[in-house]
Amino acid sequence: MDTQSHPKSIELPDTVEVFGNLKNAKRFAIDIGGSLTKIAYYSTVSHRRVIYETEKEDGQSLQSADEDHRVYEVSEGARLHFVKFETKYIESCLDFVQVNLVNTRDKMIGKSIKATGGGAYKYTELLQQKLGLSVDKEDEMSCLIKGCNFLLKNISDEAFMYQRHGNPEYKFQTADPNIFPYLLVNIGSGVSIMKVESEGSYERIGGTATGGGTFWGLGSLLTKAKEFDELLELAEKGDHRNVDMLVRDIYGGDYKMLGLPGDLIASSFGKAMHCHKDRNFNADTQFSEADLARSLLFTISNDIGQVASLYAMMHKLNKVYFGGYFLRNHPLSMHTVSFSINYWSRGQVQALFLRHEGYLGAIGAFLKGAEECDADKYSWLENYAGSSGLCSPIPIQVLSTQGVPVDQLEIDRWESAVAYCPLLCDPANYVPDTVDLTQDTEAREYWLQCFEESVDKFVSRAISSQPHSLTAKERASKFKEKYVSRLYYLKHQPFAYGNLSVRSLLDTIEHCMK
Amino acid sequence: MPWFGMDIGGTLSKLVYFEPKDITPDEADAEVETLKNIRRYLTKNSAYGKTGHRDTHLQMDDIVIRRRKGTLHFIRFPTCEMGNFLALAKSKGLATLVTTVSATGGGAYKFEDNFRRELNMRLAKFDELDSLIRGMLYVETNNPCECYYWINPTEDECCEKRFFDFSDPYPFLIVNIGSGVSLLAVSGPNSYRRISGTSLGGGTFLGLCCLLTDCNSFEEAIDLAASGDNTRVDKLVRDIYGGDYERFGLPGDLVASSFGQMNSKEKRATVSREDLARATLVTITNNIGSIARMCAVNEKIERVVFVGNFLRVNSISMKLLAHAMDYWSKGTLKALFLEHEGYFGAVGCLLEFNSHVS
Repeated sequence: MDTQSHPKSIELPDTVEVFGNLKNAKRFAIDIGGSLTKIAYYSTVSHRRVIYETEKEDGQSLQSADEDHRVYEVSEGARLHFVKFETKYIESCLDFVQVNLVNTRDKMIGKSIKATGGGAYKYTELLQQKLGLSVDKEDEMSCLIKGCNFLLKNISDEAFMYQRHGNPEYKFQTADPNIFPYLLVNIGSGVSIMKVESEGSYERIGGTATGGGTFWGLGSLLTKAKEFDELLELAEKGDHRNVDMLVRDIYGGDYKMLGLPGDLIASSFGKAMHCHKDRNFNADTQFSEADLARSLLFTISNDIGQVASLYAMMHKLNKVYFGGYFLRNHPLSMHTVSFSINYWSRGQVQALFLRHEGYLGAIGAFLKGAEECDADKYSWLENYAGSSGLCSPIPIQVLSTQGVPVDQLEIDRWESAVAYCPLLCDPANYVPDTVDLTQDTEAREYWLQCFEESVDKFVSRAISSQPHSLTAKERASKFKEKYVSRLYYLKHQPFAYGNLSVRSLLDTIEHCMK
Repeated sequence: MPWFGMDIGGTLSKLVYFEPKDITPDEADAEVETLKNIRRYLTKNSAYGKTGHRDTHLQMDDIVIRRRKGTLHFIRFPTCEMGNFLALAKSKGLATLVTTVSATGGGAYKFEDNFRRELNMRLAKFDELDSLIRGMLYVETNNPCECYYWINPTEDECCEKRFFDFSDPYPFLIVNIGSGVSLLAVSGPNSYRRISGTSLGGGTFLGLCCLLTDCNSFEEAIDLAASGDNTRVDKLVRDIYGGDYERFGLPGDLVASSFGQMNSKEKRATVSREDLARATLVTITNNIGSIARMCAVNEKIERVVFVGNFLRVNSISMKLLAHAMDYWSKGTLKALFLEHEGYFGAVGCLLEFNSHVS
């Protein structure tokens, strides 16, 4: 897999429905950040499932082999939807939501929407006007933590470690029965470090002012980049050694006595100072904007990594989860932060990232107002069909009517609460899959091809299960399109939905069919 | 034999010269002319070449080193001028005199060959941290007014320097702020550990300042910072929350995001060079303070001594550090400063050299 390029070059399957099931939307929440906004809502989804065998009361089985007398079980499921887009498009998106709120618009009157994020104040009126809901502000930190707890407990392969030159590059963590206590480092404009002890108890133990805002601010002053992502792109191309003073520049080699290697950064931007009376000094030839951007990225990431490890060691924690728009699962940023944490903690502390970190606030805000969801009573799982997967930090799917790029996450409620098998001696480390398709390239190619070839069998089975439906054929071919393009996507981005396994591919089929 | 100790750092080279004052008439006669000339050159001037400078206010008289009585002189020049320094030293005949000089800092390794080629001089190399501690303890013992702290650091009118009795120092933390930063925990005269460091140091301040304001020297950068306002560049808690963030006890005037306002084109157009210099100074200083504080807490040490040439002519940073230590620790941590700031490495290796020579 090309580790250099960012997965922006892959086209997302067009077949994922955007703002799914809005007509049945029940409750809204919104997280308005400086650059990105996330809308959350809950919808009811009805499922129909064929029953092939039923048992009569007397114990005799009754087979409904007769095509004309299919027995269906209808159930109502719950689905959480999260849609992410750039804040500048907020008005268009709210318009879209307003127009499509068909079945439930009347029920919304008098209700409120939970809002969080820095922009919640600024857009209060707009929200009230467009959606007819009163705005209920929630504290950003507590939403982040609530969202984080939810994801860590429910979504498999949510957290991962990142190693740029590692194999595998992404190492997913299995859901742990005991997630507490942990450290959450949120890197927004500034950095806040939260220690989470239990579901309801957390504390802001510290922070630092050198965060994403510093990177963006200094980057805007030092380079011509206009956007945050432009800065990251520049950083990919630069060489920080032209700007930073390394140990080697001071010692002529390693600082052996302390075991500091020569290419360690001794002083960030140390080479950028004008030497006294050095008339030959010409900033333009010494280093480029890309070099400056890279230096800046390293400076900020290394600093955050150091501060985070100091706090982790102070509180004797060895897992630190990172969130916030500075990282946005961008490989270079994740790499530098992971490296930094590893260095400063001497390998004692693990840096972990979350696949859906952008949604933490929205999830938390939503859960705060959603008692009817009874989130804790159930288990939840990621709907692979409705989710965009791990990809570009900027959404690239398009909301067709408005031309707005969006990114999505859908989470379905499982039929009943799922618990850890009590017979497992080590639930935290148990992995049910025997083949890891993310690591094993050969197996991956084999299984992806297998599924691609067998998709028609699924299609015909699906059609035959609903012989009286007029739309069956159409829906079935839509399913095929969806599934095949998802397989193609997974071929290039096996990490998109966490660990790839035969089980997850089967789950994907099921989700696509629904 | 002229007695020198040299600390060749990433940005600055520090030279300590011991001028013996107890030369007997016999010694004087036997003395080589070159040696006399060098002594005269060094002590009669306070500027050497275009960038060499002697800090006369730091001169220490009546110093006894290895039973010789004399005066310690403190000289500095930018490391990037090393070529000129070697040429100047050669022109004064230094190559004909001394064969070994004690040196420390990275440059002692990096420039070893240059010294040998140009000046026929061998460098006795000593570790920079060993030298730092040794020099610091020596100077502190010999100068009763060496150690001080600031009271009321945030109030300009009643802010004052007060001397601190550091005769019973252990344990303490040293934060050496040069081009980069090293943090050492010292528990005894020969017992210390480098517990951490950071690459955001004096070199970062000067480098960023040069890029942002096109200034040409550390002194110019500090001057600019003195009249700047960082609240026009940084994003404060009140800029985000409209006031204090009460829930977490964060006051509204705390910096939430350094340079946080600079992503806006309009804001960039209204800030001055002075504001940018100030913001850079505040960012680097607060970051160092934060790391120092956490290390102090982790090591359970209450006294934090800040040294290094980043603090030279930089009372803004000193006061910021003093305030930060006090505020965030609710008074349990104390920030201390020393008059001879960046020269301890040079003094330390001079002393070590003497113990090597019989």
